[in-house]
Amino acid sequence: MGALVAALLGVLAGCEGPPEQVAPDAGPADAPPRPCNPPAPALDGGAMGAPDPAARGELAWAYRDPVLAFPFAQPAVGPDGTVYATASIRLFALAPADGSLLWQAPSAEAEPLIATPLVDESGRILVASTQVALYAFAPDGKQLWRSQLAGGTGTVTAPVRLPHGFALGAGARVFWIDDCGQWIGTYDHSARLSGDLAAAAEGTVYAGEPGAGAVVALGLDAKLRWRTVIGQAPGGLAVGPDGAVIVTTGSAGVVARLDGASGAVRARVPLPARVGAPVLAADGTILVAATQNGAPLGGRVYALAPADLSERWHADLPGQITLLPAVTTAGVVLGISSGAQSSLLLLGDGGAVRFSTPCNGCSFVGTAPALGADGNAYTSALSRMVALRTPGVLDPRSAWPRARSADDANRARSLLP
Amino acid sequence: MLPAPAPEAARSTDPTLMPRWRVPGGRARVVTARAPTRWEAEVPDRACLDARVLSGSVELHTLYPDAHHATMVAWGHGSALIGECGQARSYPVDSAAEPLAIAVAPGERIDSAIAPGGTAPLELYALRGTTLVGADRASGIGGAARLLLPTGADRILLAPAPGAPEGPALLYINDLANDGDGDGLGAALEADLGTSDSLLDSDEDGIDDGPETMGYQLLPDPPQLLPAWGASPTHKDLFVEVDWEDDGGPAIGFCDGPGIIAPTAERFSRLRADSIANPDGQPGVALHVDSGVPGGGTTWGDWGGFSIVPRSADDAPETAQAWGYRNAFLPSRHRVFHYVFTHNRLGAAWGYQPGDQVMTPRLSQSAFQEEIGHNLNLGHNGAGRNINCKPNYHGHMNYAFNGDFSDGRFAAYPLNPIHLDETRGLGVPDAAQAAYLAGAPFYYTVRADGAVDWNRDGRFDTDVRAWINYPAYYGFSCENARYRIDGWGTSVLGLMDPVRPALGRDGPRLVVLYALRGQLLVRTMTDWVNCSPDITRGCGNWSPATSAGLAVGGGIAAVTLGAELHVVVPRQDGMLAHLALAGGDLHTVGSGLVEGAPAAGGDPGLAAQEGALVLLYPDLAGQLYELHWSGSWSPPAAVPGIAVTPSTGVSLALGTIGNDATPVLRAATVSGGRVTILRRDPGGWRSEPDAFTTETPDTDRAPTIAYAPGAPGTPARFYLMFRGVGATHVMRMDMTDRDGRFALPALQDNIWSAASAPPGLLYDPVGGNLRMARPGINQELLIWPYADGMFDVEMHDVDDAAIIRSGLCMGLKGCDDPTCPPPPPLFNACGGTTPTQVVDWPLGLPEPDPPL
Repeated sequence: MGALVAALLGVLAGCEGPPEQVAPDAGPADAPPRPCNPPAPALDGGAMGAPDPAARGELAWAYRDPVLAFPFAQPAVGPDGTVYATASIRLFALAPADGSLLWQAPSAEAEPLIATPLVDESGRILVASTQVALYAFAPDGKQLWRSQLAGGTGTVTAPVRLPHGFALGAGARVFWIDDCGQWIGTYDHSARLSGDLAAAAEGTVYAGEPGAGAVVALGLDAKLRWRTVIGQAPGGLAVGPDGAVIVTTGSAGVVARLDGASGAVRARVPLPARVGAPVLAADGTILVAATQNGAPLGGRVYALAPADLSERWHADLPGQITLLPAVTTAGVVLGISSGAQSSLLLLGDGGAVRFSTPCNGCSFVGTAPALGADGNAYTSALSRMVALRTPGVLDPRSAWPRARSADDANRARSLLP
Repeated sequence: MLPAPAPEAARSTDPTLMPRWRVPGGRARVVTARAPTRWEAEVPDRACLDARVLSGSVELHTLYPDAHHATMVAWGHGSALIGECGQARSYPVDSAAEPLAIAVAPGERIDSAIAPGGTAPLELYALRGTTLVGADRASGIGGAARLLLPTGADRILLAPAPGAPEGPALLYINDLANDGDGDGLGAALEADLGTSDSLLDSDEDGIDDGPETMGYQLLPDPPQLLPAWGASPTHKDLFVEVDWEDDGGPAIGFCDGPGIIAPTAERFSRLRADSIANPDGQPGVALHVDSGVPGGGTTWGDWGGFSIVPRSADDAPETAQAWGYRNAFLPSRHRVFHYVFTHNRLGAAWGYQPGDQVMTPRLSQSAFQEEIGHNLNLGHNGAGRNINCKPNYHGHMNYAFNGDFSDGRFAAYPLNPIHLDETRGLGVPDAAQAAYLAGAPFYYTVRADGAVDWNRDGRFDTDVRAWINYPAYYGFSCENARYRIDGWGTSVLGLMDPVRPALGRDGPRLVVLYALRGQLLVRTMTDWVNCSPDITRGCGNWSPATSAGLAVGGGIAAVTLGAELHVVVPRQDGMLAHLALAGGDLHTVGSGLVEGAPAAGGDPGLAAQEGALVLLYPDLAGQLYELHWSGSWSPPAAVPGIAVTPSTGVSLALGTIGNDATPVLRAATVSGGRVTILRRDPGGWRSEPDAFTTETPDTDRAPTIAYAPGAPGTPARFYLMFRGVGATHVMRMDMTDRDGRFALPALQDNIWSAASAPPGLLYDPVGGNLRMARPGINQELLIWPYADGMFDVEMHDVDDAAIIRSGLCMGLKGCDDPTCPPPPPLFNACGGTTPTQVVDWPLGLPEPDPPL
């Protein structure tokens, strides 16, 4: 571990030191950004054990901070398996083996951190704050930089990974930041954008415009590429391996497939349910967590064909889906809540329930789990972070920008098989 | 003609959910509604109907709901002959229903109500002897049955209506003609219930006895089945409707029953019996939450109120909350229920104090309980002096704690920050009760016998001064030095520029120097006069501002040397001006400039050491210079090795560390964006890389350091304050431990305590307190005379139940409603007609730890 951290620090050295601070009321600095070398990929941690094929959702560990809670946390996993999660104003790093605290770091002035950290290829942890700032932390907890972005009022999104940098949104504004934390571009939309961003591998950023029920695509040049009205407020976005943009519309129940290049609507289906963000399985199947029609406390997983969004199967579940699906090598992991108890489920072929294990006191809170190489599914459970044992690891063939992000490190970009 | 289909399986009676009445077996009963055997028949004109008991212990009655129909009901076991005369046939009767023998006087009304977990709709059969004298089906509230009997009765059968399951129901014999208080309940019934016939609301929970006993319905709204949801007229009830702002996700955001509602209900249930004063003598307030999720007994359920509130066009939860309160909260629930609007967002929690509206993150038990507590008229202080984070107010409303409401166990031993007996701790004989102080957020040293090291000096003394409500955890909002703050919430002292002010002393006068529109201004005060009972309001007799006739270009530094208060401040051209104040006269010193000094690029630091002034400041390139003055200025000496971040600066403080009596001159500055502590050694200035025990913080202005010398009962300590580097510039502060390290980080005041400039700090030997001047969030000049939290006010523990006893009613009806009980004497926060909206920062509140 120590050697790995040292190696990471070495490759990160080029980016250390704070960037030019940008006054929130003064607009971005005019000076061009300094040259910024992309960080080198981190070494694979490699020390974690393999999943236990017999695992059935048992609790592996729970971490409880003596002061702060994890009500919204959607964790991310580092290259060495370290679990990163935010609670209030602090970023926590937990040991994957037992959930022990490795370190914690506060935000600069006690501003809440956005619930979804992102781990980049070098192992750096990127996390946004409610003050429209982006932080970068080294794997040892040292704050590498804090980039205060100019303006932007409204809900701040989690960052998404782009080639050579990151993007995040706030209100009607989207920011681009390079790998060294330097602001490199801003796009101002004419209306408020909502939900989390999605990003394609080549760097196009997608966002929802709820007022008009539209999806916008923004290029790396911070310019609008296209805007398509789908008629309902977008709730979740995902980018398929072919570049198609899959959109779900929350309580409106619509799922749409847009051409990534042009924004043209290729398919559109209404589902009789509330629908969560789309999750893409290895074979392209689109999985959508939903409510059961007429049963507000029931859940349903739809599996839709990628081309025309026709239904391949659906699985009705005895509880709302409160832990969003993750596609693993063993099946689809998700959590449900019956109103009185939360359970971790594993769905197999056709949505068959392979196990359903109650997690007493878990109270899943609507995020998606992160998965470790040892099969542990990490998620928040109100006041705690918990690790639940599963028999699979994240399916590496599955490009699955999930509810708020993408791969296991929350990089929110398409990972091609 | 066939018997009606068998109803669904019977519902069992859970005695723990049923109301407790004073007289068991009196006019109020919990009964099990059992189904009789029924037959319905059409009866053509002049047709002959034969209905007779054929065998067994069967009792059979026939009703004619109209001229063409007949209903036969029977109970017992055996058979009955039923049918058109001459063609009647035998039917088996196998019913466990059995009328209840109970006297109903002529003119009394038989009422029923839906019981918790009970059956509905209900029907009622009244008998006198063997004669059926009346029947009713579902004419009461929400399907309950009721029957006014001119003839009286001596037996009653309460039964589920056809299709309804058997199960518990509530039955009342209501002497309605003797209703003295107009609540719909007769005096004899009230006597048996344990309520008062002279009070509409006997348990003083804000909901009248009638609705709590029978439920109510105001058309066109649906019936409100308060008894079914757990209401009791003899036990205080708290009804809450929870709605949710649509987050666009795949799950509906119900309020978590086991994780949030249940622990909150348990805490309400433990409120002290003697203080909450329930007529049934039991402790606690019963919380009933309409969360939209069934299965929570009377603690939570799907009672028809839960709504998904759409996001507003401006995406502001406040807008959606207001819309929800107007449109998704039934008019008939106003003044009975509290409206809790939940959302899946970071932060944004408030509750009216008192009132019936709350907004809170859906996933925070702590905020849920906190905001409802505000609705019940609890402040962060409980009651009494408005002080948050009192270490002896061990209750949930206190930002420092999560858990039960305070039971006032430490109330008999108030703590005064300026006179503390550490050996007595919290003043209770059970030392274990002080153990919580060793944990977050205070981290006090607590001895096995309950003694508490309030001043963190490693000793346990009998008379010390200490900042006892200071949380040693960065991120807590403790609002903890609010005492006589001048300029607080007013324009008393006017505005100031975002430039560091300075405080100093000129003989009897406390002096503040600050900039306004670029000009150096001076105000002085000599005393606090006509002070308000509101402890946060200032009362310093500050003079009007006078101009020094100097255009200011940077932060101000001041220090007393001899009989003069020396002031050094950058002019707008960057040159450092040197002035002095003595006897109220502000004048230039020498040429009025720090001669020979390069132009300043940041705020200067000034200290007095060994009869001379020490000046340390950065030039425009961030190069630090040190100069001395004792009648004239020494040449500037460049300080090597330290590059000061532009637009920041320096502050200085001279003090001792630990047991070493040798004074140490320390500087606080910024290098590489990080707060940097420097120490002056004989060899010059050096950085203290381990000055902070936790992470080294960032700032973008000069941090301010100050030193408070030790005194009997008060350890010497350095203080550090600086503003954050984010968009709002929250103020942070740190105190040193016994080793002189900044080991006790905290927010200065709270998360909203943002500042456009760093503060000016002064250890004032007059009174021995740390004073602070700083701009407020609206650029107003604020003076915090007790910035070290050591002021002469007793901090009390409070029994929250005593507040809730009146607040429960006030929350629904308002502070001044004469039917609400008066608040206890210590309480001083409720009055007027406009409730206060208390905004909280839920992300800083600890959460409970439900068992896995």
